[in-house]
Amino acid sequence: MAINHSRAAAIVLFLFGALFYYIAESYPAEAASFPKALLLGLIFFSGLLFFRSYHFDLYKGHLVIQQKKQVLLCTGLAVLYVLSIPYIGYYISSTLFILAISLALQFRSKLIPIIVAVAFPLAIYLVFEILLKIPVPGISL
Amino acid sequence: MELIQGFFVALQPMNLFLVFAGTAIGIIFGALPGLTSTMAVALLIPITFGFSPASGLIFLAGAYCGSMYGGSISAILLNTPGTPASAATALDGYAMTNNGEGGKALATATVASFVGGIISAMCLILISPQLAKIALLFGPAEYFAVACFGMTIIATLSSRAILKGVIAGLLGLIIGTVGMDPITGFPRFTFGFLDMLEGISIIPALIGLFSTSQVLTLLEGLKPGERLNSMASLKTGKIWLPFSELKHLIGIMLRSSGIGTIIGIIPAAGGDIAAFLGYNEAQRFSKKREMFGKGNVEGVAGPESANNGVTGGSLIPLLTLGIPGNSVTAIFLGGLLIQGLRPGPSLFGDQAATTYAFFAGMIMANIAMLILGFIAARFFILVLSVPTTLMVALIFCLCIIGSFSIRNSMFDVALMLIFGGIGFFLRKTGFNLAAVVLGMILGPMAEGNYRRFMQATQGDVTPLFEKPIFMALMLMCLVSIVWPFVMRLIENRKLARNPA
Repeated sequence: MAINHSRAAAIVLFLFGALFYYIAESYPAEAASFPKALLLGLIFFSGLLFFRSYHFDLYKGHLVIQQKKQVLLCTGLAVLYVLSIPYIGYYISSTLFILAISLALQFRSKLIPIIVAVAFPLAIYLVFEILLKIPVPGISL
Repeated sequence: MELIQGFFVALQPMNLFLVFAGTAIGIIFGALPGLTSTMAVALLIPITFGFSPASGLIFLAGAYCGSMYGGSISAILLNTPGTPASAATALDGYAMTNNGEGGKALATATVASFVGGIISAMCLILISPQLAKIALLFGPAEYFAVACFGMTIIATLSSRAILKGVIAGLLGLIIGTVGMDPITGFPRFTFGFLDMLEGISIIPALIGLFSTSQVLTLLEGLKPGERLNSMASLKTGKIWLPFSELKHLIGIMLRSSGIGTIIGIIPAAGGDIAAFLGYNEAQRFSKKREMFGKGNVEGVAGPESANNGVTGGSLIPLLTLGIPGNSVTAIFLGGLLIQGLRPGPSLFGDQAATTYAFFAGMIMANIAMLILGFIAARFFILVLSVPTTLMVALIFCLCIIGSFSIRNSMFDVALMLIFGGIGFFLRKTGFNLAAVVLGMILGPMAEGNYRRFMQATQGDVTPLFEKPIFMALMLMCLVSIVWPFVMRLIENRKLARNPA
């Protein structure tokens, strides 16, 4: 079921505003006053957006994510990639990630992703670690 | 004198190499549809950690100028504007390619971009120090007003859906409150994470908002089973512009450069607006108006000078007052802060050596763009053969390094991922990401200065009315808020009078 995009945003932002306002309640008055004022504003305007999404064409339209499976699959791979970095290092995880993305997106050529998956981490190593002395995440070579 | 010293720094072999490298990378980013100037600068910032502040900024100057120009190459040869700023160029540029004049269109775009960039950089050099002197007179009240003025840009950024603009700005302001309270030091919304005590790290957040969310957007448009693209059949002809034609175009280039620079100074008005204005003006003054859209070289010169004119202009409010007028300059602000440089008068005092080297770098970047444009424009187009499948994977790998390198922290990588998700959701629901960024940057400035002023006056606001700069800035805020509504009212009236 498709939902109006403005309404979806209004609900999420309203809940976000309410939750953070609740958290800010526990802060000392001086530190809380500015964020609380902003959060009240967010709650009010997201409520307004919710109602306007029913009446104004400008705020109408469905929230549609094209190629949903593909986007979700690649997002999952990206999260796995980030989680694997502390354990197997940036270079190996990047190689695996590039190959996994090529497979997931059914890239026609087999050779090109392999070349890129090997060449890219090598280029990063040369530029960042050797040339610029900037560490990369995870285990360094 | 300081500018000459700046040139000595910019002309050092290493900096010369960096300016050419930055410009070349910028051109590639600009030429690839889906990749933007913002992404180019955001992903290159981590590389600048290994350089001196001057070298880092020179490198970024090259990337900024190069990416503005790069969009025109794909616009002219493939009718696919690499960036929104080059959409106007495609109108006549692609028609010229179809007429067998692709090489001439590329040469015109290169020269026009160079003229626009140089004039804009000259304005940056001349205007910034003067404006910075005025900023010396600023206290907390004035800085609060500057932050408020910056935030009124949100009204311009989202003149159609103003409610969404306000919400996006508020969201940015709320994100800006994360971290220690500026006066009492009380931690707010940090959830026990020490990495958040200093606030949300701006570069990972920007990489997430602009680059990671763009990767997801690219994935949405990607059909599975992509092949390697072929550009073998692309023929441009000789990239050359005869002097007689250049003489004829110089007036258009100068006029459009001025338009671009002014548009750049006005916060929130970016390269796309400047380019269409430049195109419009070129058409209005042209003797061959009927040829526009059919391959008129004036239709390439006008928008290209205008969109590159924005580069220097947009840096003026950033360097003098700390107001980033668009998303690229917001990233630039992050780049400055990382190098220990604070926008404002100190850039022209203690840090003058670095600032003027950066100015010289802006000039050098435009020269590099001119040289690379003539020698290698046809080769840059080959990057379009890189399949999107591999491009999204590589960009994401770069996003990881970019966000990690700021503090060598995996926490920042996680932050980048979260902001990528937020950015994608906001894009899909029609919010302006630049408004979020403005709120994030200007929020702490507004809160800190407001509370410092109130502390000094013990809560009395009447001294504000005795401050002429404060009052002038607040008046500008008012005009900035009302202006989009007035413009819409005028447009509606025009439409009502002339419905066709």
